[in-house]
Amino acid sequence: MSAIIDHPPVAPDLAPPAGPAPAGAVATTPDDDRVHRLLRGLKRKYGGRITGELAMPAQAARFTALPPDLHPRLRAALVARGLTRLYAHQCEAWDRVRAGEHLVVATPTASGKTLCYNLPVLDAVLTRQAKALYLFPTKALAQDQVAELSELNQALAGAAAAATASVSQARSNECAGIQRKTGVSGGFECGVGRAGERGVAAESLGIKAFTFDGDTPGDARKAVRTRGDIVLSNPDMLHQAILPHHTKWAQFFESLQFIVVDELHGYRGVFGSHVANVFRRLRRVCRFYGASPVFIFASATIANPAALAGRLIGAPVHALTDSGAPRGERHLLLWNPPVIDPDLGIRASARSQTTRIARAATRQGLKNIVFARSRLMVEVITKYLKDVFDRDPRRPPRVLAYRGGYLPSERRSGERALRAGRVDSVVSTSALELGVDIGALDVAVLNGYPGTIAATWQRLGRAGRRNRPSLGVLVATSDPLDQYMVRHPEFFLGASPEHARIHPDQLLILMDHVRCAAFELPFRDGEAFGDCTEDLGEMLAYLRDEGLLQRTGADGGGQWFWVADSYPANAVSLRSVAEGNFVVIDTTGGQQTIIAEVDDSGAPGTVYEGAIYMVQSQPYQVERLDWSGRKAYVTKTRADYYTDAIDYTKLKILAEFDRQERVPALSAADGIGAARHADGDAETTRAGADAAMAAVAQGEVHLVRRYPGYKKIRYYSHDNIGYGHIDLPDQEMHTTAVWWQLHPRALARAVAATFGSRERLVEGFLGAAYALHHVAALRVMAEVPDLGRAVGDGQGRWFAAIGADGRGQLRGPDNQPLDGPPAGGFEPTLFLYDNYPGGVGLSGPLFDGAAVLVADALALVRACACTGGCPACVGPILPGDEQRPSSPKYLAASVLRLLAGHPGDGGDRRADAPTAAGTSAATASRRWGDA
Amino acid sequence: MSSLRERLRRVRGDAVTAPAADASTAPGPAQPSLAARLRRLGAARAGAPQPAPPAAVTAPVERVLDEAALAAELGAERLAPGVLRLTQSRPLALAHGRCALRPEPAAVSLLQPDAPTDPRGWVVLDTETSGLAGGTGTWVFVVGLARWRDGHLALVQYLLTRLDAEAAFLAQVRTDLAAAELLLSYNGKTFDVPLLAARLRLARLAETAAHLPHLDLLHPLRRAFGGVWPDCRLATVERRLLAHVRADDLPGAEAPAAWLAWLRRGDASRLGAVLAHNRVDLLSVAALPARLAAVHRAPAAHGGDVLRIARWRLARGDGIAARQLLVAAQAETPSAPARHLLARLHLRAGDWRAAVALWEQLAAVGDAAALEALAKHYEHRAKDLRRALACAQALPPGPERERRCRRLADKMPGDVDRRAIDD
Repeated sequence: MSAIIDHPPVAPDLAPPAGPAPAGAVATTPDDDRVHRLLRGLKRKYGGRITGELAMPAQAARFTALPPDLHPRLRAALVARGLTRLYAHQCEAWDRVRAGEHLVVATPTASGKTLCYNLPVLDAVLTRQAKALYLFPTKALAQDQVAELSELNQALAGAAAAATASVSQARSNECAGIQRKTGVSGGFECGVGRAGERGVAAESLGIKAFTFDGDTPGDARKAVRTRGDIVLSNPDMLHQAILPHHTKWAQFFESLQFIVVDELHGYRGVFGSHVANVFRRLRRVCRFYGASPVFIFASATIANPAALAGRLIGAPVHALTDSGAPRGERHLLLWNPPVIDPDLGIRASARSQTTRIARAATRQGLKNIVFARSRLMVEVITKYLKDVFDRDPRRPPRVLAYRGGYLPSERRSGERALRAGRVDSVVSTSALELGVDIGALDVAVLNGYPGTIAATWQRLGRAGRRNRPSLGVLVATSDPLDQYMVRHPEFFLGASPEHARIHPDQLLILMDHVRCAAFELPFRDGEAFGDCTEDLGEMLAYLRDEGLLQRTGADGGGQWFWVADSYPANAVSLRSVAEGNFVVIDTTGGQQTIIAEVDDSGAPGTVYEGAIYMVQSQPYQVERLDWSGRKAYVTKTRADYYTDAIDYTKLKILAEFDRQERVPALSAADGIGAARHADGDAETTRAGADAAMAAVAQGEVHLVRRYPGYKKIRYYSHDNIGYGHIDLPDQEMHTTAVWWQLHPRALARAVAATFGSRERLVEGFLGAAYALHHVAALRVMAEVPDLGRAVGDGQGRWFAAIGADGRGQLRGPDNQPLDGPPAGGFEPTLFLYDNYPGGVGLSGPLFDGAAVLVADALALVRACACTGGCPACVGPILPGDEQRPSSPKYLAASVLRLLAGHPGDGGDRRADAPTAAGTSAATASRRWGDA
Repeated sequence: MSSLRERLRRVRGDAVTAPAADASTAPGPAQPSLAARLRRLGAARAGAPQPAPPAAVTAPVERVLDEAALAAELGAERLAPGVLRLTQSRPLALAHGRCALRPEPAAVSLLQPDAPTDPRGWVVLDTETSGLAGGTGTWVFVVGLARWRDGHLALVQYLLTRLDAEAAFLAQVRTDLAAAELLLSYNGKTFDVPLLAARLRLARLAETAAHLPHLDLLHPLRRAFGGVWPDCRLATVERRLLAHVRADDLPGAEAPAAWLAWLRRGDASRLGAVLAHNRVDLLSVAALPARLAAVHRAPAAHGGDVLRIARWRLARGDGIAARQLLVAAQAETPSAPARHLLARLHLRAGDWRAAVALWEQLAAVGDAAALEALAKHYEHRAKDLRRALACAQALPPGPERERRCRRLADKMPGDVDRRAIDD
């Protein structure tokens, strides 16, 4: 009968269960055996593919007693739910919030973060009618949280009733049962406390928690505003609906004492920069109503939770990182697919390994999750798993795909199926990284390095939530970053997670929100906008000149009033710098059904005419794309291939902000000499300008991206079976970039001595760009797609791309192939650009660390085990190219050496000796660690 | 984080605007202006609305007035810096369009049962605003009030001429509204009153008017004409219902620009027209209750929506009046839903003959609900199974028809050709 105790009854993971710690009991469940059996099996059969292993022992819990000053009814409710003590960090959170500190709780998944904020909030609601605003990055998470609060509230009601007669008990339970149905818009309301109803009225609770989002009906909104104790919303609603109408929320703001921000780690990049400005506006409005709420953040593990939260609200935030919660035993394997073509350095695909591991886990009866890096890969892997496990259409599916772009209803039903344990294997993008409650899983397989260490742990944390042993497998792809990680396991296993960065003063974003703030409340002379460093007066004057503001009053005592007839928040989307999602409409059988949404930036590369677009691995073909109407019309298809868009990018330099010359290094052994120069005083570099070899610069660029066509790729074989033409307008963007150029003298010398021709040099630039791009993503702790790379001449006269034949080509401004660079100066330029309009602050750190970056890229290329270049270092190469006297690897290394300021070529013409390479890679990794 | 700050400093301090080709030359002009930086970035923001400066900004201003001169020209008094009040009186004897302006307590009570009956507590409210966008960025710059006094309608208009005088402006309006017992407006419940509430909040003044009984005439007007007229704009109402045609009227949509012209450039040329427009609005709202009550009493005669008004009567518990309205409109070949409602009301009043007559009319053109009502009527009340069956058989195919036909067939065994039922 052992199967019956398959899922031992464990208390909900938000707080420790009462009584003796169950750790010992859990250790002998069959799940343990199965996880260990899978682990043993994988190690026995595939030992050679496992390059690193980490085992983390189970961790015991640290408890403290419930705080003595806890509101008695809240205490009773917790006890009624079996919570008679807290984890140590929950108690510390209580103490700090009570002391009025802004707080961020950054403890692992399933450590009871929710109670860290719910406890002080519920206590304050009960004791002093405080109000709280909870913000979640998505609607779904807010709705999850209402359910959670509802349970607590029902426990409160239940506990209250238990204190009185049993008749009352029955009534209160009945009442609790119907609350969620009668509550406003997914909210709940404990209506037990109707005045004058026996003893219950005085004892029971009326904590009202409502969601407020785009789905909240108009007639329910007033009730939310005036009666909600806890309002659960998202930053977008705060930005577009609450702040611009703050007078309607006056009562709420006057009593607002807490702002809870969950999933803090998601507030980075463009979104985080927007939200920091929304918080500047929020705090302004709060001040107007005399409120100064405490912020409580909850975050997954990142390196700088306190700094990020502090930057978001412009005030110091204390970080709580030491978890008192128990953890099950955890195992992690780093997995490198086997080499199948040693000459080309070609390995089996990560996809094949991932599906193999997921299949094994599913067959062992272990619930598993597969994370893929793209929506396309989610669909492909789902198809492969469904082909094995969901062959019988009459049975409920065991494999589920989950990703952004699905309709909310489909995602909700997927989540329900997961929670109910009906799904054995779920394949997801980062969409499930967030705290969506999907229940307990045993195994997490990552198809490719997610790009950051923080995201890796976040995804691995999806397995083993409930004090059970778990297994994570990180399967490396052929990307350079993955290969570096998997071949240097100490880097990953020893590194701390990254810093999440935001750039609230990005000019376009900042101006958007100054505009919104001026609409909400007039600015006064001398007022600051949060901790914004731009000149607010200049910005306001600019808005006045635009006709939006009017200034009154004397110098120094003036006010800036909004006078335009517009609603600025409607023109600002927090999620992007561009607007307008595309909807995907299925027209199969004459119907028109919306099946998905694609964001503006993703659309050109996914829903072009002819594209295969997949939903739950069902392929649809795009028949027509209505670009201006933002609609893609698709029909179901049975195609045996999928499609992958090709894109070309050209850049033009608009303004150069800063420039550093590279002089020949004194010590030419490796890149350290150059690095030392860059980090040393500026005079050294200036003095050597006469002898300059190369220069690195940063500034603003104008970028045009074009999608000329797409490849058709057959399932399973992954053969390229054809091309299609894409007819779309160019995508234009203005952003910041860092770029490298060779000094004309050095260039001429290098072409003559090392490369032999300009074409070879350009090929070297392309390979160097490939390596630099991946190393740079690691350096600035961004994901690879956050940055873009390009090789061109900086004037937009030509740019270089890998053509359909796999060779580097020069192309003119209209993408036409060129035989050679146009007349005039030949100035090849290697760009890494910030892939967001206006830039979000990525190119600055790249410029500052340019020397180390080039040294790292050089180390990556030299250390690679391939002979002539491969996708793990300089990008895919053609068969036979590694036999060329100047292999792509040699060319790229030569360019990188020149960029580092070394005269001469890339060393051995074929490749650097692998032994020497090992040392330099180790040096590089140490430097990363130091940096 | 410091590196971002550092970069910003660089971006601002050392930016070189020269193209990269001559980047090696000395740094260019010190710091590009904010406007220049935004213009450069603007390329990426093609989708974002860039509010063009209003065309009028550069137009020459004929006369620039100060506030005192403006008050003199408008004939207004200056209550405080930035707050003007214009008071006018309109004899009730004078018609507005073809309508009298007399207060009509019976009309108001018909439309708003909880309204106080003494017209001295009634206040007509209409505002002019800086726009229609809503939210805290929309200003109320004219508040027009009209009250019935002996023999005349007293019009008071407050004009805000300086943005920083809003608190004083609103305080005046509050004082003036303190004695009001009923508000009359056109769309004021949705627009004017919430907007005033927002402005009062912003000025840290207590709310007013929000809890008064409020007869928003848009609602009865929509009831009567929403399904009949192409739109319910006040100008349409005036033309069609009050027979009033505005002469030289400044369109309401231009009021924001007229006020902005004054704020920006002291150009008061159109402020007088805004106030005149607002006064016409007030007169129209004042004249509307009597006309709308008449429409509600006899919708058919005024081309109003008889059915909706009858339903409204019924919802207020006045089935008799509803029936009378529908009976009175019978000559106009009322719609099927109107006939159904009338039949129901007939039935409720015990006049089933009249109800059957209506259903027969409807059944003649194949109305399924009428056929069903007749089938029930013949089966249960008239006990005429044969006619009941005939009606049931004429029903559209479906379980309802089948069930009914079978039951009837069972009730009259041997009497029916069963094939007629089964087909």
